[in-house]
Amino acid sequence: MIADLGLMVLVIAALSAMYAFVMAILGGTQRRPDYIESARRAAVAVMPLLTLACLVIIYANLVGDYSIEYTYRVSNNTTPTFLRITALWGGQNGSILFWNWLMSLYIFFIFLRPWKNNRDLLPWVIAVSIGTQAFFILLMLFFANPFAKLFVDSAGNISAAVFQPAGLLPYTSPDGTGLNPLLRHPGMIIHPPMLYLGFVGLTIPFAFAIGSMLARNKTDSWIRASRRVTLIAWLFLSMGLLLGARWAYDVLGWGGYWGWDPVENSALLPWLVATAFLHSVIIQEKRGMFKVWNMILIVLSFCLMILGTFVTRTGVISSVHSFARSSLGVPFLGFTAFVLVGSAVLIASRWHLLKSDNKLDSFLSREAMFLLNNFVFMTLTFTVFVGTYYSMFSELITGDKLTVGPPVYNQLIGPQVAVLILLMGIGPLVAWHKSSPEALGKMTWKPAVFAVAVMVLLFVTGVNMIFVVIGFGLVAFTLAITLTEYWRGMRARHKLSGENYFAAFTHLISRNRRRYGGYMIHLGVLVMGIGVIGSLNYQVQTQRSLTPGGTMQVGDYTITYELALTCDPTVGISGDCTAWYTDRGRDIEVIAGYLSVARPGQPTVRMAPYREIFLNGTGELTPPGVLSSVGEDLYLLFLGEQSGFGTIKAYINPLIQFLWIGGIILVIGTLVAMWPSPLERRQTVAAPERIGTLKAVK
Amino acid sequence: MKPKYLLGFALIAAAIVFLIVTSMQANAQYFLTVSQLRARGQAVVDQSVRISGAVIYDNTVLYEVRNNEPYLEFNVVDTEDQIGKQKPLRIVYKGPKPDLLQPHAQAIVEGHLAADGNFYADNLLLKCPTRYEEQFPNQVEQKNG
Repeated sequence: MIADLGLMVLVIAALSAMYAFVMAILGGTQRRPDYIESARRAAVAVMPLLTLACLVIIYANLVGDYSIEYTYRVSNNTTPTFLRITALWGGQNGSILFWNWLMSLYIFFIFLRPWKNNRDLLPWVIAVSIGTQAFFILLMLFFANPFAKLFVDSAGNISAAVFQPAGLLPYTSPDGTGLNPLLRHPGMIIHPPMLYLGFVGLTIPFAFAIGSMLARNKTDSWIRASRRVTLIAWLFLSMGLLLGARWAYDVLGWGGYWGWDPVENSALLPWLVATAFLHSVIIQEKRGMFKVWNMILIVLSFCLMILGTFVTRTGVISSVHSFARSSLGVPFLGFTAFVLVGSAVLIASRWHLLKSDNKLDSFLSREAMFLLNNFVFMTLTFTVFVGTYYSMFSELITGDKLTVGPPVYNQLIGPQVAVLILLMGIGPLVAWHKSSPEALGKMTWKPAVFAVAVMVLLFVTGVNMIFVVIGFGLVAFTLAITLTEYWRGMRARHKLSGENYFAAFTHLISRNRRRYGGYMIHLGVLVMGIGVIGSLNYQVQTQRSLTPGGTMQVGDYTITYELALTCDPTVGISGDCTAWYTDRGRDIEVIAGYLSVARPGQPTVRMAPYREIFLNGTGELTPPGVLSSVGEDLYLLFLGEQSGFGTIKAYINPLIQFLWIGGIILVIGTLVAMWPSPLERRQTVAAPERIGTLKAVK
Repeated sequence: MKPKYLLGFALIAAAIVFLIVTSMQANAQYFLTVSQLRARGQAVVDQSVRISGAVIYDNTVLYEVRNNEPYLEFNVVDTEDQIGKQKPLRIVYKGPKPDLLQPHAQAIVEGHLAADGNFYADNLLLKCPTRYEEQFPNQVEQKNG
């Protein structure tokens, strides 16, 4: 019965969204404020409705209502409570509902209060955002309905349908199949919501961009109005990617964190384009240039986001995530094609409104640096895109099935990222309009000397891989420049106002949140770079099959295999096994390997990496035991026990902690950059560049 | 922007695109069946490829510990109906025996074909014929029938 309530709510949400879409367009074309107001209210109403729909699914999972197909698939009688809640996004149909709900949250907060500014954009921004929402709600209703119920025919065959088919009777299963075991780890609770928040958030700047063109608005108010939400989306996307990497590292047990898997790539692609966009809009704000380019970037990021959602949710390309497969392909690709073609036509027809206010004065200018930055981000996007879809392209064109593996990506992407890091250092030092090589040389020679010193030191201490030396050198160079920027600003404030250094530092940041928050993001990326270079090039791995009491050596660590503990829940859980089943479903067999790890001068540590075997036959998992220190991680896997031998795989991942630390710095930097500051508005208006732009427009 | 700059940019972009695509072509791995692998003959020996095949689960499966390392050997053919008809390909893998190495399993193996005719695996992935989230399991049907 509860399924019918959910279904009804979804239908009302779809109607409300479609109504808002139509009224917004009518209001925009006929200039009827009352229509627009009505559209705004209908758009805002979608969020509470979808909230109710989500609650219905959660309720069904909690009480174990196995008459609902979705609950049957993602939950079972032994599923712990918190997993029954997170199972809302643990399967395809529920995750699309959750995705929709997150999008409705953005829409709710954007349109909750009537707008004071940018009223000309309002109907069009409503139309584009709620139109997208309506599409996805309808998609869910017709192709991936989370409220489908189970039915049974006279022969006892079970099937699922939204409405009762003729001749079939409703069926309630005594138990469900349970959540995909891969998704039962804490990382999965937070990673998908973050990624989805990032994905759907990109709809808002897209709606503003398209809205601005539809309203024939000549200014770039859409950028300013949507800047914060763009940053929010970018932040969530970054966190989603980082948490996904962390989940892979902590759970999947292959020693790494990023496998260039199609699904990972699909999330990375919109991030790359959105990052290019965040840099490129600065030029439009400051100099009124690259307007068409920014439109292209925002459309591209939106399309890649839709494509990413499609790839993630349907497993169209085989990958570790392909637990979800379905026939959503045609509507998804149709929608993407419509957005691409529609946007292209719109940009072409509004070309005159998107004319540049200024010209590029010099190739040694901030503008040119940003241009170069965008160029490299585009080549990166292209590389990842071609790599991801290579198997599809090659099969279509030559008939051969080919795949592109991680080494190819690393080899191609390494040099491009190196250029980006160099630009990250030099770019902020180059003046707007025009700069001179002398001025640049004056500011970069000291960091350059520092970088060379670092490289020589590395070489002397035995680092003989040339790419590693260059990589660390570039990171050192840009790190030195970025820290100097903070130092110079701090010293200037200290001298001018007599503030102590700490106060000067905090004021410096709070008065220029965008700039110094941005630099902090750069610092985060650089610190992450140290982790990536180290773990990628210096990973050590060893594998041994040992009898109890046997030892193996990896690096400085001596690992002793003590014993294996096999817990088969079909036989019964007791004794030492009880601890393994406090929050684990009884459909997983656990084989734990108890190991002791000794290191000279350190106390012995006991660790228990384990192997999970999913009793429904869908696979197995080997979550690692990790011993972390600043310098390196010891990453241990227990691959199982056969004929008295326990097999242990040990990795040493050098510098990997820097990746996570850098990620945290990046997140803090983004928060700093997007936090509202009272000064911000005055500053943007009074900036001399803006006055120049206004004159040029006249 | 002046046309000559645009042209310059376009040329650089074209060069980079060319480099990326050719580099991928040169380094992409073939994904082949057993018979496709054999058809390529000497050209694929010692080249990194991915193959897929049906596991033959009988007494030819060998699993033991050699030199303190797990050691696994088993045979695959193109598809299950080729068992007994096609000459099987021997897979050698220095790793633990996956639980999914069972009758009717499909193996996806990354590695290389050596001159001795065996396929040396770096990575081994096994799939069972029933995928997750695709079918309703039989037990439910039986309970109800």
